[in-house]
Amino acid sequence: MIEPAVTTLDDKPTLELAGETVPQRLRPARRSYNLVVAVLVVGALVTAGLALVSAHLASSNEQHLLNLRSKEVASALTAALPDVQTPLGAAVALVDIDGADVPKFSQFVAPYVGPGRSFVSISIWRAGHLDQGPVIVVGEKPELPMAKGGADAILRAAAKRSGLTVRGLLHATQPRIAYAYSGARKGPFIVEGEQALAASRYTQLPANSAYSNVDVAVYIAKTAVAHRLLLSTVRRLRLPGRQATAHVAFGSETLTVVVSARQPLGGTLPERLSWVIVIVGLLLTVGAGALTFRLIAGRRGAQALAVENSRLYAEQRGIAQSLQHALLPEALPKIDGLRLAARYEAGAPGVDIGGDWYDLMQLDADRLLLVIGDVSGRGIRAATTMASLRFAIQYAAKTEMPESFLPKLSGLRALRENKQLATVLCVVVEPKARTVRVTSAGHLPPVMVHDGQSELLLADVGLPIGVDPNATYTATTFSVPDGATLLGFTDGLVERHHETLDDGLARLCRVAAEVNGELEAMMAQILEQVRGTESVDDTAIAGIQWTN
Amino acid sequence: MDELDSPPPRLLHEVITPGDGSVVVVLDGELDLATTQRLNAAVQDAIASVTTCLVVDVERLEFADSSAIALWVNWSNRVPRIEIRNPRLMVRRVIEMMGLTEVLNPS
Repeated sequence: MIEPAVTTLDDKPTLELAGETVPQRLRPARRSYNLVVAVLVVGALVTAGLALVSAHLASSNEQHLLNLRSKEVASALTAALPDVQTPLGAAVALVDIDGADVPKFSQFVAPYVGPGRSFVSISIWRAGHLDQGPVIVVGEKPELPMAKGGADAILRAAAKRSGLTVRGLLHATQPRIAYAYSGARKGPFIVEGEQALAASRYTQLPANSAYSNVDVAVYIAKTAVAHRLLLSTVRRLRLPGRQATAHVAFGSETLTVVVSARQPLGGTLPERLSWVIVIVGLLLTVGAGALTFRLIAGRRGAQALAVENSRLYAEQRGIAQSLQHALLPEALPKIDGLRLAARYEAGAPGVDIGGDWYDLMQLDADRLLLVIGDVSGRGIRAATTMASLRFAIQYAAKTEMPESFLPKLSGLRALRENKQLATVLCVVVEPKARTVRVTSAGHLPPVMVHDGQSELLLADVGLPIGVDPNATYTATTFSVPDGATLLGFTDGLVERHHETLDDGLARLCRVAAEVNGELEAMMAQILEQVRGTESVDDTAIAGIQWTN
Repeated sequence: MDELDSPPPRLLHEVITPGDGSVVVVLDGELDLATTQRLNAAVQDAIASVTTCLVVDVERLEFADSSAIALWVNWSNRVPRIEIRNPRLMVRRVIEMMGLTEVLNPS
């Protein structure tokens, strides 16, 4: 009868498992660069908002100051009116009392009339006889009669009004303003004075004046019209920059005062503040953007590193496991009357591979060799030493028995160089003779199960390989009952922290006696129940079951 | 890879030199692959100075795996005699199971 040989290597490692995850992990990082853009945009918007608010505040403050200035200029001009009214009032009072006494009047007004004085002309008119012209004229000839509408309308209006009546501008060779006044008591005479204006209307304010920081244009009209310009501090209108306008009554006329600032009235700081905000805000924005970028790049780097680490780790582990699997038999021999099975269970994830191995080989027509071994230590070095031992045993077993080749294994260079020990269990099976010869180099004993009973085959135990090249080994022969199962294993199966090996072996014997079924099923149950979930160690187990 | 999974097992050791050519190494903690390499490097000189017996006091050793056994066997090849003193039952049984009673002389 030929039984199928079974080898179970279901945890074949894959090397490409980590590579696929890399782009997926990096994708959110790219998305998070949008955060940098968002930071920059928000920073720019906040900066722009603050700058606009600041500019608006500076502007409205400046306008407010300018408005105040225009009103000040207007009141200063109004205050100038009594300077005109007082001499004219005195003059008209004089003629009202003394009559039109030419010499006396001329003498009185002489200080006010003439080049460089207040008036160019002062004349006295008789109310009710305006058509006869002026009664007295001091200084130049009055221009008022030549003005549009003549002198009548103005002088009549003056006769009815209690204050000054103003008429401007008279466009004579020199522009003039005419003032008509009937006096406080409304006497029979009306005085008319005319002031000459500079041809260009350009006036320079003294540098130490209260208004030296503003430009002023004054119009004798309700609006700022060029031909009614009374005076201006700039040679060419219109005034530059921001302007404020004030209106003020000037006798019967209205003065329009337009003011603009030569320098910011509120100082230069408010004006520049919005630029300061723009510069500082943009710098902060760029700084925040750069910081965000660095943080994201750092996190991305860390993520990439973590991915790379896990990839390298998975690869290393994958290589190690691939190596280990490559070193284990691909197929087990097929022997009449026997079922063979073996399993290798890797340790918990995160634990390096161990140096556990098994081997089942047919020595000749009548004999089979089962080998279970365990190299101390872990990782690639343990795996390579294991490989050396396994192939050395395969070679030596063709011609020698275990007790003769085991001492020679201590001379293997891999074992010496790495200062490792290896425990090896060799079981020579003779199916026809129903015997097994067990030779142990420091290895745990195999367990024999039959008829619901189990026992450890406690053979003589020699030194582990690597201790002493002169070590000697002896084989112990056991007979095999019908339908028995023999299991060799490494300490990963029975070893637990804070427990002696005896406890583990007892647990194995108990479980092995309880489980039933064919070899492979038994092995699966034993692994599950004896090894437990807490085991981190690798485990190799190989078994032989007699089928008849 | 140890750092990624769990903190390295802790092992304390002390070297006592009585002056009679022997050296006592007292171990406390867990002795496995990670700690054996550090321990071996640390006691290198002390072991080289042994002319009679190297005593490894393992009474406070809570865990020892096959690398620990391998280390002691390795030490035994460098001194006239080694003695594993006061091993817990767990360690003693490992020594016995491995057939190393004659080599490591557990007491």
